[in-house]
Amino acid sequence: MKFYEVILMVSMFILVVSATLVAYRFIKGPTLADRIAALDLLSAHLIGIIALYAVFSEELLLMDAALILSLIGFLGTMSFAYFLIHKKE
Amino acid sequence: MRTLIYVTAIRIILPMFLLFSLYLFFRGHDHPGGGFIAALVASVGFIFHMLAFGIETTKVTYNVNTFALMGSGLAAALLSALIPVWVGKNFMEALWLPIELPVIGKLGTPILFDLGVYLLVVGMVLKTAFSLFED
Repeated sequence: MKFYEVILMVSMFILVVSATLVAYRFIKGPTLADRIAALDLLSAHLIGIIALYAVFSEELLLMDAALILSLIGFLGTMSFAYFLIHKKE
Repeated sequence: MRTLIYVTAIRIILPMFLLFSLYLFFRGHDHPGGGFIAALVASVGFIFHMLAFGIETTKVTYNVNTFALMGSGLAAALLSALIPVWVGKNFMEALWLPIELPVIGKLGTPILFDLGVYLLVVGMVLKTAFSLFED
């Protein structure tokens, strides 16, 4: 196994562990704002995992999936923030 | 949500959304992509514009009529299914034009069907978003 592949595997492992911690915050989170931040971070982790897998398996088409997922994740965060602002009125 | 960074960024990014959507639309026959996901990307762009400038501004600026979008999408899909019957082939059989365009590729009834899916999905998503954000 080459050094390059070892680095990819290690970074994938770190991302998965970190995503597990974020998922714990998503389940536990006391307020709605905590859960929204955790959801945004979780989608960012998912984008990272997809990009790493695209490099690992040399499937460049997966990068488009990562791009669209980043769009959808940003849209989710934005609309949750919109509803949080307008709920208090 | 009238923050300066968001409004300025959306004004620049929205044409890129539409360009990426067009790219996904024409790639869809042989690769991942197609009418549905292209329509989702385009309507996400319009929803960002709506969040930045308000619903009325988006409706007036782009002259959005969601029912007309949905109806024309269904009509395009039906037309793509009926054209082969008119020529004498089976219902919904794929017909291709003999010429080949430089960037887009061959034109045919599957592209017309995909255009119908595209318009229908844009109309549906925008109608849902408008009625969600009007409350």
